[in-house]
Amino acid sequence: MARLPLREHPIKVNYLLRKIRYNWLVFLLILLLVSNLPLLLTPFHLLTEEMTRLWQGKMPWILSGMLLTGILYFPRFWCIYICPTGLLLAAMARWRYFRLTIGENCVDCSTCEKVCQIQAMKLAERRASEDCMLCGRCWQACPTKTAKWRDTHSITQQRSDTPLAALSRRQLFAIGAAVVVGGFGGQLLKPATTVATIRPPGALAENNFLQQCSRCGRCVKVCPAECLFPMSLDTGLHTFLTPRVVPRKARCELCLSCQEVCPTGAIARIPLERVKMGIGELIRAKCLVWSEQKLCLLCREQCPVHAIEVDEQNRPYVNETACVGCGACENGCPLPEAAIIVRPISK
Amino acid sequence: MNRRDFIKFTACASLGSILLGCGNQEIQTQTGQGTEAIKDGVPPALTDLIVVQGNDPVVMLSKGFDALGGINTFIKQGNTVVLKPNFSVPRLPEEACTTNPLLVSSLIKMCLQAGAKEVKVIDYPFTNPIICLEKTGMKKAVTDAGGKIYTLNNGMEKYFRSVKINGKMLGEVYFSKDVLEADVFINMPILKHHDITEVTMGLKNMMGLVWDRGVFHTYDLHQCIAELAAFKKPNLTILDALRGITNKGPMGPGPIKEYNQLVFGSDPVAVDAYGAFLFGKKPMKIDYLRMAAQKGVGQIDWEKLNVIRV
Repeated sequence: MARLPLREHPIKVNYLLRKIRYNWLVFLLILLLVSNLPLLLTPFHLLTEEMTRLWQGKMPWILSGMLLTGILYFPRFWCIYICPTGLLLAAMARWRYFRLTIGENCVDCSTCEKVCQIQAMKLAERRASEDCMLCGRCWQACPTKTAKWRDTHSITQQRSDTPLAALSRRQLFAIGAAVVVGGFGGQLLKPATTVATIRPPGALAENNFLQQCSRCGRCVKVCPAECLFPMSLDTGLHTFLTPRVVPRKARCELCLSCQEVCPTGAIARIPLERVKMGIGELIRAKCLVWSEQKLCLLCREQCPVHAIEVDEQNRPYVNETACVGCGACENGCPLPEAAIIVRPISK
Repeated sequence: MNRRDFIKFTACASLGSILLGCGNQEIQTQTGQGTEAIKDGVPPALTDLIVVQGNDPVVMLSKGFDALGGINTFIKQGNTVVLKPNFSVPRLPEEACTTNPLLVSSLIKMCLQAGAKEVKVIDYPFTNPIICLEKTGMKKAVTDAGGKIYTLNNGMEKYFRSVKINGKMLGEVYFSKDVLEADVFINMPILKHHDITEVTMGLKNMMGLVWDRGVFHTYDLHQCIAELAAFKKPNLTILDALRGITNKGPMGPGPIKEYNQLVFGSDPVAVDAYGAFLFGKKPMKIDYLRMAAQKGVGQIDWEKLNVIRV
């Protein structure tokens, strides 16, 4: 197969990325303290999330980007430089006792380096680096059958550095800087004003919800009413891909399926009686009954909990204790711009 | 295809479409004036109002049709039958907010036995259609009986066609294609409370055949219902007055009253007027009934009809 140009000289980019990748890992770990967005980069979340996007007919852009770099650059690019799981595993593999190593019969043909898809085999060091995924290609390809699985002490040319000693002073400073930037960066991700968002029934208070929600998209997928939508980037990175109810598109049917599938408890399993997603607010100036004396009352017809009551002149008002904020009223309002809007409760 | 073929084809196609258009116009103006376009095999309007008392919907249904002269007076060999029950809200059958599924399924069986080619059961729930289909028990009942059931939500192009109503309020609305093209259309409402119009029966149930029904509320709801009733009369209305909620309608759940009756009639106003009486309202006090009667859709004074009690 003809090699793509980018794959011809990956060494320089590689060198640079390899230098900063543990700083990147630390940055992600710090970011975890303020937002669990980094989890999105891990295989499990990435896959469920991107499958959800596909399911909804949207572009799975992270997955596409991943595959594209894989094709253009080299396979496992994601696992080695981006993925927190991959980086953590690699970091721990520095202490790996057994590795693929090169024995004494080596003829320095560098076949092992060439066949290694992820450039993990280091001929000079006589062993595979911590990135090694144990695919065994070098083992198979070695003409003298000397690339083998051994404990690292048998290597004649011992590396003097232990993992921690490998860190230079400069790298240590870089990690410190990443901690600071990560901490501040995380704060910056939080917008100055919180956006009014209706969360699924049973969702924790907004801040807790954002901490718990892993953006897996299961609630969005399971919702039979199709009223849940993953939030876009416009409202900030910290709410990105979290589920919200958009009453104008569909009302929540209060089936509570989302509670069942939520793996993190961000949508707590609470009974219907305790569900309070928001409170309907009737804008009398717009309402057909209040402003034009029409016989509308669609909100009253639609309300599943009978929270829209009427006064002696048959004009609607919201019984705020009964209202659960499902959005049926907002959904049903026949005006182009609903005269009744569900507002989230500030918890 | 050579040039000559192309010209021939175009000429034929345009002629065809012109002819098709003519046919449509004719039907629309006819129905717009409140007179039914009578096709072969469609029964004439009956002046009878059949009231069946009982507990078993299956028995009551056959009793009712016997009193009407047998189901074959309505359904002929090869007919396409459309039933419009009310399964608009996600409630269980026993909560009495939707048409009894047993009633619908046994009518489907009767229709098919009478030689109907196809029985379609449709509604346009104002809540989530998938949940409604399941929870009301309608989907299972209809499919088991051999009918076809679907909801008209999200299918404006597929299920609706623009028709002229020529009313005071309604000019044009998108009305159910299935009903317009059916040989026999049977309305199967449930008698229950409704917050806005006090009680809902046949005429109100017809709103479920209109795509843009939301605007009804922005005009004058009662007038719109009456105009819609004048536009399309069902061949038969079977009012499910077995049990129904008397408050908190249409959504429910609410207090249930058992009337244990089925009402059959070709006059939609008379059936609804009787239903209103059963519900404990004066028919003349229900605005849309009064307006429909004034438009000549039917007889609001149901006692003037030949009431047969079975």
